[in-house]
Amino acid sequence: MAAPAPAEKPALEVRGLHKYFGATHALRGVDVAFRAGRVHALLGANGSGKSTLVKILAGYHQADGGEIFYSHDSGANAIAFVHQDLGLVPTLSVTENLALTRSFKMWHGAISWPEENRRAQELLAEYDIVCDVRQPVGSLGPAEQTTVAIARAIASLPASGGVLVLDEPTARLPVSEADRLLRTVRGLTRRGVAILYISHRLDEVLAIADEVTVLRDGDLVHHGPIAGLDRRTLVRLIVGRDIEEGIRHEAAGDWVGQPLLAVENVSGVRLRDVTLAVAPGEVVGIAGLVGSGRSELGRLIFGLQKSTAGRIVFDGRDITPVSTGARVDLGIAYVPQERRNGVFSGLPVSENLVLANLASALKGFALSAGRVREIAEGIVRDYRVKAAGIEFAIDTLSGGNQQKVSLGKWMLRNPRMLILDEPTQGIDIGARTEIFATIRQLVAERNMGALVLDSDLDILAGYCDRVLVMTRGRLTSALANGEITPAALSHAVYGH
Amino acid sequence: MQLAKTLVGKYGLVVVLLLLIVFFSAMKPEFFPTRANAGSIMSDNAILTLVALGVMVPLIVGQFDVSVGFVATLGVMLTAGLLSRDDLPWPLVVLIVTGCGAAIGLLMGILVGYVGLNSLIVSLGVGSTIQGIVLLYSNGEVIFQGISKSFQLLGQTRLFGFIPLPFLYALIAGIVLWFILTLRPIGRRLYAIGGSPEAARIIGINVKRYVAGSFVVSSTVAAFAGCLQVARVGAGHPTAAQALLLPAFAAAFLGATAFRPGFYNVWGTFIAVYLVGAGTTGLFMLGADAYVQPIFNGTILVLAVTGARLGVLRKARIMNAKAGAGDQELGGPQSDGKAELKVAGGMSN
Repeated sequence: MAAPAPAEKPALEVRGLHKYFGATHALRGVDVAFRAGRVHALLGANGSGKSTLVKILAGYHQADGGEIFYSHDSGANAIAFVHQDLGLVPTLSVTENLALTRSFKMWHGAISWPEENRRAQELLAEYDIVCDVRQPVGSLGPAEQTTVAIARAIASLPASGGVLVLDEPTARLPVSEADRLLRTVRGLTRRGVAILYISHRLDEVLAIADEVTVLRDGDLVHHGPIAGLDRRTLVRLIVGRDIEEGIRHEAAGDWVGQPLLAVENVSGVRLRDVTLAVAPGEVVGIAGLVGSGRSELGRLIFGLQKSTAGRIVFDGRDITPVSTGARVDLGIAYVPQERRNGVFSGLPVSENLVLANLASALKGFALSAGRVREIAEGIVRDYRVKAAGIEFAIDTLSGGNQQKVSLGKWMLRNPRMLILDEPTQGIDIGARTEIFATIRQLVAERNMGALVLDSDLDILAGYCDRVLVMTRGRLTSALANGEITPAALSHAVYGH
Repeated sequence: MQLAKTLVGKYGLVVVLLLLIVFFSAMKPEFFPTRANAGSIMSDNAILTLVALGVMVPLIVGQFDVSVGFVATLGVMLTAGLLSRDDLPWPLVVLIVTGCGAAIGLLMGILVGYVGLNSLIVSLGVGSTIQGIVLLYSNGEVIFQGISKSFQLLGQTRLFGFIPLPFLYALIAGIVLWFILTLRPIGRRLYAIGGSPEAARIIGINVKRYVAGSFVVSSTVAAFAGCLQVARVGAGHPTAAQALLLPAFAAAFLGATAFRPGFYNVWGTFIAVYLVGAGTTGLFMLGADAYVQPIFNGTILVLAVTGARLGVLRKARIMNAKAGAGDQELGGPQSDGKAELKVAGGMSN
């Protein structure tokens, strides 16, 4: 390789990287260099080649052409990954989790646990985590767990010249926790590692990154310092066109009459005395931190969990004692936060779409394959689900398209109320805009009501007619129409 | 080429069955390809077929019912006892015995579905208890007197002098189960629960009821198989059907490698039973010792599952390539892990 001056030698450089999946050209000759002591944001929509690049670096895929250079002698050993699911064993202690990837300190042929605990304590102290390292890692907060995973990854890198890849480290964190983690990440640059930071949260990227690399359809479309870039420019780079973010219903708020859904003084495990109403044609957002009771509210309304007090009225009827199945029949639809609970992994796309509509797939006494196909193809077309074929397993679809399936399967049942728990978590901005546009369109055309439970304040501010803020199980404030801005929401949620 | 792939991928078991039949017919032309032999293979394996179809239903929803061998034995002894000791008419006896099976299934179903206990433990415990009750009831003795000829005819008649009635019962049970599993909403929901119980709950399926119901099916069918065994051999043996447990599970697992690979299915299970049955009979005719049978069964099972697994992995790769799905989410090793789990899930959950 043409040797640049040693001081500027990148920690990791790829040249002319190509990758094919069958007929798909996933990477089309990507050249990019990542320097030590910098945070490099790696951006791109689903299908941009971003994950392919990272998987090649991880050694999971073989590149079909091109070269990869590491500055450090240990080559591929000088790269560490923290994936979205962290790879921690929640029931094992912090010490055990840290020890999983390195050798144990032995004392006469036995593991010396006092020594291991001391080392773990020391390591975490460097990241400002003070905790009893003998407790299970699952008892730590989400940001602390992520930090433990990062500390473990860094510990596996050589003293200098390593590369750390962080894949959506904040996707599951509330904003306040995310801020804490971002500070930790910034601190890592002092250790002389190059950080590859992957996130769909653009505000975060603008706050933390030194340099930005954007991939689109397998091509490198941008690589350079973040200075001078704003959110709008980043969106244009990622999607390839301008996107109008945020749609709101003008006439909301002045609706009088019987509400579609009324939650009256409902309590649950975390919820305390919650009262709210949703009118037809209205999208109501619930903002709140993880653990505020936000998700529980959705589960209670859908009947997945029993309330301890109060009642839930849907369309004038008390549905509190009614089963989930009966609520579905009444016209309530629910999209859960965990995508694995919204789709049936391993089953074909068609089966996923038809399972909620089995009655309409019957022809006489038996299910008809033709009707199944018709129903599935109809939904795929209406909601622009990108799938190679409805007979393929749902797992072959991108996250955004899986989410469209999770939502679209309800539509034949003509639901009148949608409950959406973090509907676009981990989904790129293009797909996210499409999904919310669909939701708004459905709500308008069919005069449905929707309840959006989300921790992303931008989403709530962009698409909801009203936003209620939940703190420690109680609704603490309400914002409507013009008052809803990310700043106002942030103030209501975090008090700053 | 395409045809060959489909044959191996989806109908591998059928191809192996046909190959075995051709092979043994060539080796023993005077004994193997005869109506008498075909009839006895069909009759000998009918009970196992029923039990295997039964265990398949809890397997589909991701639960194990390991009590079927004991429940079938209870069916055997209760049938023989009620017929010979109490002199009850056989239709009533069949009703009582299958009713007992259903009640045992309901008990286990409630414990697993509603109380949320581990199915392996529940069915093991219940099965062991039943084994004890059977010994108590029968004093450990074989009952061979007082079983009416009319009842035995139900198990020993051969239609057209060829097709044994027990095989016909198993075939009818298979057709009914196939219809329900593939063409009725209930069946789709069972597979959905097996794929993800929580996702099934979210689309409004009453998961607890379906799980409980699956145990009622497996126990009822096992008890009925016990009845049929008495009609077939004209006697009740207190350990008659216990040995059916492992072959029944093996058949269900083996069956999941064909027709609809990765999913338990009726015709796969059906063919699996007769593949092993034909193979065993053929080997005996060639003069093999008793030890050959379990080796043959075990080897076929492991080979078929290995083959199916490699096939599914290859298919998954092709599909990923087609769907251009290299770009789903980061964490390649994990997403691969998911695919593996899926296969394992299809086979053993």
